[in-house]
Amino acid sequence: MPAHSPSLLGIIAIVAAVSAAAVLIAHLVKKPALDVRTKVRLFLGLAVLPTVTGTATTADGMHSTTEREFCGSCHVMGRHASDAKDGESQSLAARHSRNPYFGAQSCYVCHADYGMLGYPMTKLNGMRHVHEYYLGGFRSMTLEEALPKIHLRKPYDNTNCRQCHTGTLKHWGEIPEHVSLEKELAENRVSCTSSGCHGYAHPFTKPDGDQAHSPPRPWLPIPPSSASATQKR
Amino acid sequence: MSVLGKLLERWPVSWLIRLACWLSLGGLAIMVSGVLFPGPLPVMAGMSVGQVMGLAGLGIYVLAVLTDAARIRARRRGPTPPPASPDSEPPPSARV
Repeated sequence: MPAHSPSLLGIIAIVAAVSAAAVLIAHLVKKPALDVRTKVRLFLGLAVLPTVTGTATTADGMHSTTEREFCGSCHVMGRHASDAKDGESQSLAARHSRNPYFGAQSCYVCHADYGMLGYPMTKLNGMRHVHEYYLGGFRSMTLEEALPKIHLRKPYDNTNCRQCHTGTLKHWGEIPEHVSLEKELAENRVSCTSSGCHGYAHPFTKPDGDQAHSPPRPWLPIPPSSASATQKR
Repeated sequence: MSVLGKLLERWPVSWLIRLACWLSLGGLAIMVSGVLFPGPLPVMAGMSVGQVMGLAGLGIYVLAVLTDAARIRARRRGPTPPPASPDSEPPPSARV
């Protein structure tokens, strides 16, 4: 992976690390007597500056893990990432990625769990992805081999959609499917991103992906009985 | 004497400090690699291996400083008396 230009936190981390390294290398080369001044200098190089580096690199690293480039750096996620940033794509992921709120962090914004423990739980799940990639065999698979095997561990939580699409606007309640499926949507028994509703977020991963790639169909009133036949996950 | 005590006696303070410096330098390099190459492995290594190496370096430095302080204190107290031989007469307080 090519080096990228670091953020402000990254620059702070690098400056602190270089300063600490200068102190330590000077000590290793000059080998001064262990007087009070040397001890203070070493405390700076072994405790204070590395603490700054550690804190800044952790914050910068946690931020890096929310970037789409980071998610797409594993080749099996390459197509997801390239579709999301494709300005011509009409997939749900691409359309949301064009929104500045999602932007270059669209994977994280959509897939992060909400709630108090959402952030650490999402990071822990990310560790499982790394494990699957390096030790679960995905690293040696081609993209074509991997795509059918990649799936969500649990059904996509509609709460993630409804953080923005709250359903409190008058127009939302005028759509018959929303009304008839309100309970199922709240219980995650019907997904907002079903092919019959708003379409798959990553249509190329589904067998009927091309169909779902087409622009959303006009909404027609349907009776509740046929609404239950809407594709469920 | 404990195993740690024996090790500290054998390894001089300067050796411990050099070890601390090398460990910290390695840790710093790993931590910074996560910033320069933000892929999964460098970032994870920076937040785990790098920080453990840095902490180990700091721990060894603290150990070295404490050992040095103990040696200085022992030197100030003067030479310790040789241990009494087993057949020497016990002190009056020890007599029953």
